[in-house]
Amino acid sequence: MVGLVAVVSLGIFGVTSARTFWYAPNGEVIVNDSISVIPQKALAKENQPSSYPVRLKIPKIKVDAKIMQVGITKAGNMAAPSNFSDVGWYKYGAIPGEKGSAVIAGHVDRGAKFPAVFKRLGDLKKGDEIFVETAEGRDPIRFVVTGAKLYDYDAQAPEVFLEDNDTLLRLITCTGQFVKKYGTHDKRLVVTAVRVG
Amino acid sequence: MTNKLLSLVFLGVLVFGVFALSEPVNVEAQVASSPPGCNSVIGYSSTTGLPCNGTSTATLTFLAGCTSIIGYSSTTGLACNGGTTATIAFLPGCTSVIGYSSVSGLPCNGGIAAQTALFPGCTSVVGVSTMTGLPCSGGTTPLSFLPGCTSIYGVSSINGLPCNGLAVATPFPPGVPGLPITGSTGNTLENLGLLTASGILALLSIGILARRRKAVLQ
Repeated sequence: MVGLVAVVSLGIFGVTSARTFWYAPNGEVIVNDSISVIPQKALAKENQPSSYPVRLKIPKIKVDAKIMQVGITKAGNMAAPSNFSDVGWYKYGAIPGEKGSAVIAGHVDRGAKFPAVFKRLGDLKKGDEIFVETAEGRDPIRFVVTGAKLYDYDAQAPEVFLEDNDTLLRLITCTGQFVKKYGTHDKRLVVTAVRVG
Repeated sequence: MTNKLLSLVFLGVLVFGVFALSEPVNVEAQVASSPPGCNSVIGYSSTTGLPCNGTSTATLTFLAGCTSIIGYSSTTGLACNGGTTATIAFLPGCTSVIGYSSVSGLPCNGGIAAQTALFPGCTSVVGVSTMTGLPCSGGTTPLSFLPGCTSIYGVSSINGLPCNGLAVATPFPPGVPGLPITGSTGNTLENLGLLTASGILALLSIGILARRRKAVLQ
């Protein structure tokens, strides 16, 4: 009996540790392309893997993170990365470096208030540099921060995803207070950067 | 005494852990007049594995003039479930014949494979097709908005399911997703509680095992 207790306790400890410090369920669902929730032109991007972003570097806040591709959740929200140290690029939007708004999200904290990859996103100021490496391995694409804006957690923000008059990069993370009844923080911080060079 | 105490604490952690990590329980839908584990004459029983049509070979396609087991055939007028009485209500956990049941995980059309696309002329499961005039839900009568929905956009305020009746909610404006959820602070207490309790239990039980082993060796 004591042996069983030891094994099960260690199992629960291991699973909870993973959930707390590493694994972040993102609720992403597979979108059937016959359902017109996602624009067809976005699905067509799946044919350009060499230009996909693979790494995000922000020297000022010491971010050097792998970029995973994320889609959409059942509720129609952009999905978040499935762990606390990588960031997620919204694969149905623009590719970083091409005209339009490329969107990358990262967690602000882990399951026990420890910092996650975008903990210090709010420290970025106008002019700070952001670099995105692509799968084809050329020189990183350089962006500079132009501003930041707060949104309510449930805000509809078409400009974040659709603005296409420049080559933009949007970095998103949670901020504000955690509200239990919403099951999330009450605000989102969106940092905007524009491509230079 | 230590063992009893340990067992009690273990039971508490186990129950807490099961509640914290558990998924909704799967419940199998079933129609009273069909064989056990069957909703219609289509496919195999989910309980016995035998063909639902009562023969040695299962029927794998819907009856002529039917796109699901719901309602009546548009060509013969017979019940699409193959029985004497038509199935009018959608299967448990389904708001239409499209997609999968949120309760059982089975296709909502009652067939072998789920229908994942909307009917021609439909932008959601609400209303009627602009091409055929038939209900977009695949049911016998057109749906108004789903429970907890005031449009086809977003998710239901009652059950959190997409208001378009599909697997993914249609954001508003269409094509623009909502902002992501990128923080886990809300799980802090649950996680720390589980970590502490299971950690203490593991240490205690390993300590007891070590003491017993030592006693045996002596």
